[in-house]
Amino acid sequence: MERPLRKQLARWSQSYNRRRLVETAFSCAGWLVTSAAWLAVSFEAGVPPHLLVSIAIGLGLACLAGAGWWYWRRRIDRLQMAAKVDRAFGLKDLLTTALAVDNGTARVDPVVGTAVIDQAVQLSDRLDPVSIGPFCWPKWSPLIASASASLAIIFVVLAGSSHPMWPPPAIASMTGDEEASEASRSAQATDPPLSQESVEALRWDLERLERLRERMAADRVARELADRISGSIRSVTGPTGNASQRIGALSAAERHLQELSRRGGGDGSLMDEGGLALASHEELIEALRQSISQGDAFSAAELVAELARRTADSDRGELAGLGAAVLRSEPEITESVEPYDNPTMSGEERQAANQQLTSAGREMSAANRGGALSELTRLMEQLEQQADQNANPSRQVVEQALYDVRQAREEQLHALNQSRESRQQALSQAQQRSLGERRNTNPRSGQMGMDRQQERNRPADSCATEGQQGVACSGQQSGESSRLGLQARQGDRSDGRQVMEIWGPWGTGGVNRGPGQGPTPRPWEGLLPPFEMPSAQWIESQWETGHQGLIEMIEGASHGERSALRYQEVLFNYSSLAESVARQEEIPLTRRRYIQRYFEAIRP
Amino acid sequence: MQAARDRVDDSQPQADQQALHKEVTTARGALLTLMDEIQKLFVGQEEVVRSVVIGLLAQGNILLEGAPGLGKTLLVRVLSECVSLSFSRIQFTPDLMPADITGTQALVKTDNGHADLVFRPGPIFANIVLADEINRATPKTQSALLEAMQEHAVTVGGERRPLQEPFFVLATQNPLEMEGTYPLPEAQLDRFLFKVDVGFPSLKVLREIGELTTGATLPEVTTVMSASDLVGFQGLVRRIVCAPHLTDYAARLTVATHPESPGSPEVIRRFVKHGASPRAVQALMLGGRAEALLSGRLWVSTEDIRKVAHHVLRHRMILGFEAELEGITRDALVDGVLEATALPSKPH
Repeated sequence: MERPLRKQLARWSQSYNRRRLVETAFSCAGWLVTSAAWLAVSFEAGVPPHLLVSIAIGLGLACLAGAGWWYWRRRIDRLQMAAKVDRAFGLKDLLTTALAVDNGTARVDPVVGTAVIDQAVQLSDRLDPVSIGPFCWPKWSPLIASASASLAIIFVVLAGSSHPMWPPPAIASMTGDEEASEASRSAQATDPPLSQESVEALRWDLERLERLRERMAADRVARELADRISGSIRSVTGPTGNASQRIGALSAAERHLQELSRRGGGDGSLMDEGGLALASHEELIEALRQSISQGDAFSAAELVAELARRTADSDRGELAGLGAAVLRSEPEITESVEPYDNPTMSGEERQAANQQLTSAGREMSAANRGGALSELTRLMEQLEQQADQNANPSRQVVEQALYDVRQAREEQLHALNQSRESRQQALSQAQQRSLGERRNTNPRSGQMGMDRQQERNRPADSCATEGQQGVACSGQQSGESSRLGLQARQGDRSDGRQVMEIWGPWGTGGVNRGPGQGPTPRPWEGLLPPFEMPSAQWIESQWETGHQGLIEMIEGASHGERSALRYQEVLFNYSSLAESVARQEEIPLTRRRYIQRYFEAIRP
Repeated sequence: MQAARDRVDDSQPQADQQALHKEVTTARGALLTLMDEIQKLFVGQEEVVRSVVIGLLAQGNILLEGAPGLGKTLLVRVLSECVSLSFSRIQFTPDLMPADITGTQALVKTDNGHADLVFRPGPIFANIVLADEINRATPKTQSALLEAMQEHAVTVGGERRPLQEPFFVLATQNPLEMEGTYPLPEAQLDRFLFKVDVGFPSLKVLREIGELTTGATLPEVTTVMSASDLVGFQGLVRRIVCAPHLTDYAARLTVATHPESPGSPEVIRRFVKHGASPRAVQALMLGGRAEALLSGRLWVSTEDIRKVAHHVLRHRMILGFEAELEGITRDALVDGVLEATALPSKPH
């Protein structure tokens, strides 16, 4: 039967190693996914499949071997676990020594050996290594992790292989500016910012938490929690990060705040005795000075109690050391209560407490234990009295921060949901438009498409093309036209053909409708603005579907004539329009680059 | 009947353990009291006093080095008074002969009129021997202490004479007077468990010394420990557990002082000619054990060994010329060794 100390250490080391195993499983999964991605890229690039299979087997084995080696290097045995716990709890090698004695590797007097083991067993029963690190992981965690990692691999590989655009090699060919612009665009699209009020509230909480951390510096666990909370809040209030990251950070801050709030039992304290017992003299006294100078009588009373306990337990040398530490610490006495909020002690009370602490330090330096204890007891009583008359400021800070963090998180979640919904709507509208274009069977649809895009940029020029769109998609025509400030009318010609005419406000290019090569003008011609462009550039068109409209002929050269529009102007209009569309629409990155290159190529 | 016997069997180890804990508590209390008593007169040098008490517990000899007037001799005298041990002082001078230390055989007339050779013991025959200004005697005389320090015995006239236990040599030397001094040979330096540097006291301590020593009466020290108590404590020190990984740490520290060792730091390879001897390992472990007892523990910690490392290693390294040229101190070298040597059982 295994002895208690070895059993306890084996349990701790196994649970610690379990965590390492989980990390390794996920790392291995990551390596495998990366390898799979690389293989897929190679496959797309035309590498022969039999060669890829060999490489895949080699990579898989390398990943597994690497993961095994990595785990083997990071796992720890009982002795290393004992050393870890010794260091974490300041046990001065008790567990390592007791384990060596228990294993029989140390030659010792049996009575002394038994005493050391007994002491180690008693102490290890009281220890909780979880408080200093993520030690205890359940037995089934590696199984779950391995299963999750395997699922992740399968999902990534299947999803990736079924996606037509995967792998996209275009990312590598993007320039720095393009990548930055793409990242900025993506971030803007999905990243609703946190409101200024929430940011201000969190910054204010951050300041108060920094001060609270100084007061709790003697309790290592509380201090680490405060550090984590501050780190999370700082990442939210900072300029970087997107909405998802902010929500994650706020959730982490909320969790740590709840953990901090639960510490110290029901007496309202945020520090516990176990944590304080591990603090050095300097840390304890610095925290005490900070508590007094910030007017936190609650924390100060707890710290004075710990100091009194140490004074009672220390020998002469330690007492002098303690006294020296007290006298070395510089008291920060502020007359005003500013800038600290909700102080439980007035300026005079803080000054008196600091002086009393200093006189206790003098007694300690003179090795007068009784005098020091008496001073400390009086100080503690006064602090407790002051604390009883007020609310606990430390707890108030934590509760306020918890409230603000929850509010900010909810706000961010709400904003993110709204942003996603609006994106979804925009996407469905774009899909509907696309569907409408596909229905249009006009052989000149390319030309028409370009015209439609141009008219979006220049609404005054777009009557004819909008009219064509209206003809093609009669269901949407009126809404789109009215949005652009245009009007449409439909009528029958004398020869029986249907004609739709669109007109709108006067623009730089003019809203044009002219006879061109078409038949005689319609009766409502007088309603339109004056015609300034050469008539040859406007023609009445006849579509295969039987619809009819007006088209601006820009490429006049194709008709053997010189265009009235300057080439640079047309190029500028089209290129800016195309780039704008390329930025706004979901176009593959490589195609965007082609569009840019095309316009660069045709630049005069 | 069997159950009663089992109860007796179970209670015996518990009684042993209780007795052990009581013994440790008593020893710690007595040693702390001893330190307090010494500091009544030898004020402001707590670290020096602690080192001397640890040396006493570890049955080692101590070399105190410091400028004149720092109270080295006073410390040894007060220590002997507090522990109720016989004390003798040898003032080392260039004309001191070995026989002046160990004793000599003298012709003594017996009652029947014959002359007989009778051994007259020298000042070495005491529990605590103060070798004052040891570096002022010639190497020949200094060497007279070698056997006494290591073997706790002297050989005179071909006869080996054991010294009384506990035996403890406290030597002092002054680093300032180079003229007319003879540096201790390495073999003798190695026999000192610790070399303790007595530093100059602070202003506050100087004021205390002035007030304390110029008044009408001096504080009186009382005997707080008997010789048999001390022997018991010395036995207890050797029962303190030193785990194998700490023994390994002590050995690695010692090896790291050797310039040819692969794990030695750059400062050692550059400035040290010869490293510490195997006695350093013994001194580190014994010192660590005594330090543990003084802290009321039954086991040695890494911290204990690191605490005594400077006292143990600083006089055991022979420095090269370059170290003197560049003003490298021995303590800096020990710091380098401590920094370069991995802590025992360091987890990944």
